[in-house]
Amino acid sequence: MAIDLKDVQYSYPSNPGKMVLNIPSWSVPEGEKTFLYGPSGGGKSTLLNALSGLIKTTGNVTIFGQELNGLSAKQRDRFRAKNIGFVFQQFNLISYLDALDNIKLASAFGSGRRGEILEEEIKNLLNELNISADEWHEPARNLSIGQQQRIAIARSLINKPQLLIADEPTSSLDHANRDIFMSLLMNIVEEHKITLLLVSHDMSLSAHFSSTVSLNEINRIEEGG
Amino acid sequence: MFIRLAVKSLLDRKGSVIVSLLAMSVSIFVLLGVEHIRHQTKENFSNTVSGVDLIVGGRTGSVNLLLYSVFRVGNPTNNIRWESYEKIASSRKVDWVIPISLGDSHKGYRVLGTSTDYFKYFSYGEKRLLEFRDGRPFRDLFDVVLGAEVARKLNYQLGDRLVLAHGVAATSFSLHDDRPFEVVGILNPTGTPVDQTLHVSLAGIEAIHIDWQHGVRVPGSAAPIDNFDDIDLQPKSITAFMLGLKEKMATFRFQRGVNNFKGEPLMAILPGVALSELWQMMGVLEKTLLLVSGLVFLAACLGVSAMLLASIRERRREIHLLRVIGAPPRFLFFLIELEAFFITFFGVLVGSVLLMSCLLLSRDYVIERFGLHISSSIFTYNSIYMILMVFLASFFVAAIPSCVSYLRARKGLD
Repeated sequence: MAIDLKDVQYSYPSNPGKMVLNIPSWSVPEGEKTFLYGPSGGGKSTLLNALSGLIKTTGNVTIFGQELNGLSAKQRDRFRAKNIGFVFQQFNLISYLDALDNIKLASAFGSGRRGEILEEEIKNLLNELNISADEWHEPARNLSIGQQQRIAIARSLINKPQLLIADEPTSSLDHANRDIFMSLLMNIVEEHKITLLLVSHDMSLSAHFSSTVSLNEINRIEEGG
Repeated sequence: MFIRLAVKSLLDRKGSVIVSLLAMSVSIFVLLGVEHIRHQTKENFSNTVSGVDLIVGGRTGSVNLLLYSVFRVGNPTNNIRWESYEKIASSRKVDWVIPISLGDSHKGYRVLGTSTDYFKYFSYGEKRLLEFRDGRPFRDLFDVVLGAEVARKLNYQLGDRLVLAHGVAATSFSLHDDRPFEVVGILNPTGTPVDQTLHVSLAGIEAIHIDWQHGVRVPGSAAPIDNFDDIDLQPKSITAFMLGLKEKMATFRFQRGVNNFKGEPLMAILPGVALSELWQMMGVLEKTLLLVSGLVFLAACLGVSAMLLASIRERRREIHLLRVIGAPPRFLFFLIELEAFFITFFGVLVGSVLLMSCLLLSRDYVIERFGLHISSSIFTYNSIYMILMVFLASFFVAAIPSCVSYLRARKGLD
């Protein structure tokens, strides 16, 4: 299994009485493209933080056979850098760094590779994602949201992750750009054999996916509590 | 990549970083400036006299004796009889002796009556003897040798004639105008009170005071004297004298002997000890200045800390992104520490360059106005130690935002 959750529960330390996550069981097979939808405030971000090991929950969070709660904080950071790629709606990149530096930074935390081979690999990825060489040295803030998202995909792929998590990646895009982005994303995950988990409230995206899951179905939070 | 990220992050926040950098630079300027000027003043101070084993004067406080005999500040409580001076000077233990007679002035500058041994034995700094820029020591009765500043400020050249005034007031109406002196020598600058002194022979001092009693000319005795050969110009008393001993080991015993001198109440002081006593008296001012500059620096450090703390709030998304791509909390801690280090480093650099430039530009003014030779080279053991302390303090102050960032990351709040 790519993702396997068992009895996962989480409450923020500032409000221990209010449970945000309560997932008795949920799993995603390897290589599957899963669409997860749910309303705002339904615990999507918290679930993604749990899957990436940024927060420690009760129960078992297993990603590609690795039980995250059994790892130290340092090991979880290392695991995330090496195995999980992320693409967000906005703020995908460090705004004052250019495309190359943003990707190199992710590589520094993951594979730790450097030098000309890494540079070459980054350029290949950027070419693959149709990012012209003129844009490689531009600070990220000078690029359009669409360009930033394609660079974010390149960044997420640099450490050859097994899982790609996309959090509302199309919310800031217009219709045309949304379709271009989705087709690019699907091709990339297909080509690189990556498990994809895309979280969104836009149900029209579900057509691209083999599996659709409602957050309300898996996260059993009772009213008021 | 780590350093690149810190540098680019600082450049991205130019406005607030420049303000913090300026505050840091000004505080470093003040801190190093106060320390440097204190150190240089102290060095100037302790370099005023060297190689002198004892200074002997009428019984008074050691600081007072030092002030009037070396710094030409204040007045002696009593003079020394010439017989007493001769008796002590003739001791077998004494190697050389320099008599000092004060009491007259010229346009606010003190006149020192002494012997030619003054030019032979008096030394300053690291036992540097006096050197002549022009001319020679006094030989005739009305010869005068000028300190460098006197010659420069009053624009005197060799051969010029000048009139001494009775007393030490800047403006005096009691002039020895019937017996002018001729400039025969001008000394090189020393950075000590010697530069502000006119040097004449003891006999010259006696000669201009013939017909004078209690500080005024005796009425009706203005007949000019053409020939002083038949007149006894041996002084009856002098203000003080400096001496060097043949054996340094005997200094304390000799000092005790002078302090118990039977002929009249005298006092002998070790110049080094008296100088440090004098410096200690200024210790409160010195410490106050250091405290104020330390507080200025602390304020700048806290400013940097506040700026970095505010930046954490501004950079929440950036920090979250770093965490998501695998940055551990300690990376965030050291990133913020590195940013503080860069601000401190450039603050030290700008502050130091600013200070050196100011010292260089104001050098002539400081020498002219205060007689202080302040070097523009600010890097001493003390200042380097202080700069290291600055870096250490900045590390601890930057630890506040760094820890906030670290703890938030650990708790998964970013």
